[in-house]
Amino acid sequence: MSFKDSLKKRISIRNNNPKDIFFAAISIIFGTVLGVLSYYLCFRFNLAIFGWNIAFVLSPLLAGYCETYLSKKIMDETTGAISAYLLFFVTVVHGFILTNPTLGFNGISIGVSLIILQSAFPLAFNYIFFVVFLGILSYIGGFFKPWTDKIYFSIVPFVKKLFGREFKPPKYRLTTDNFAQDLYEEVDPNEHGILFLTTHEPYQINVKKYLGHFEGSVIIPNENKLFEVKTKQEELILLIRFKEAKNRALKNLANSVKQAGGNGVIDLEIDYNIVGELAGDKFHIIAKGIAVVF
Amino acid sequence: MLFSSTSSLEGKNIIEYYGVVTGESLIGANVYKDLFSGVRDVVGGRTSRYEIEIQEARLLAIESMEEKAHDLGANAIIGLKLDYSNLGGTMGNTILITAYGTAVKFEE
Repeated sequence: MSFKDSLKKRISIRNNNPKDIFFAAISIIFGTVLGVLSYYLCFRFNLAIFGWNIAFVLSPLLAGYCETYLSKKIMDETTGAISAYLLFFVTVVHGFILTNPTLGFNGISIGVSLIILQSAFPLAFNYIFFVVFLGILSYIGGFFKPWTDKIYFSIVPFVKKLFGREFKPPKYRLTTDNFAQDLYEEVDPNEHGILFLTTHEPYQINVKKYLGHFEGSVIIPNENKLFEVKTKQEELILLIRFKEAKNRALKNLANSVKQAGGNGVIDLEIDYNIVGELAGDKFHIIAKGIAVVF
Repeated sequence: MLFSSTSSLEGKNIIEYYGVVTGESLIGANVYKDLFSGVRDVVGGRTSRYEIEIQEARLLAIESMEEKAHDLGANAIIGLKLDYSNLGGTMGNTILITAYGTAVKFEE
């Protein structure tokens, strides 16, 4: 993409009016010239506070402000303060490289360069650093997690046993022992003596009596920590628990319907919700429907 | 196996109701997938990795439900419902896909 094309995009020109491009260029040049001028004057008269020349902050701001002011006056829209970006490069090249010939390639200069880049291009920099870089790092960590987990869970219990101490797995890790183990139901939901139908008009069966709306629910407590990377094994445990909780919810529903004298449920619905959030997710599974007598 | 989200099968005679059959599957959070879905969202384009994952998970849930209906002796599932619950929150982007319906036998 040429400079002209990128400029067109930048200032959101809806048509290819050369006059607008000309005015935009004038505004950018105006801002840049004033920025460079202010930068020169600040250095000429040594306008420094605690050894820091105010030009490093003032000049890019002034350039952007002047450019925006002019473009709004003559075009009634902004050009995106491009001169402020240009001034960032001028200040960095002059202030940190040309006037600092002793500046070496060390941790501090790398850190300062990153901070300057972050100030000049906050969105792009933050995306690259926080999403791409940390994402790749997390992926690599997640990729090796099964192996590190295997090593941890085979060595640590053994060492603890050697010293006569009991091994307790970390609380956040879902295991069959620490995550809602009392939910297991051996009985199939259809063996509770209640006919569950997801339809609301069972044509071939006569509904003798409607008993009203009933529901059975189960809450699975969970103390999971934030940003926990789930392993396949933990996902499997979660799925098994959901199935068990659903069967338990259906059993609870069947019991309430039986107590009311019903032998069927029509328009059955099963819902899975989350309650809680930050303090730890609690899963709420509800089975609801209309109790009837067939 | 015939699947229908309707309450009845038009023109067919249902001879037996077996009760509810369910099937579930889970798509777990994966930083790697999330990362590149994010990139694709920014540059525009379909996040096809997730689409494929969801399709596979839906198929798994339906197959699991179908197996149960088959074991009961049914030849159709009516009142079929498919739910996608985003477990969100601190679980990341875990999606639970549930399929459930009424297992029935109809005269073919």
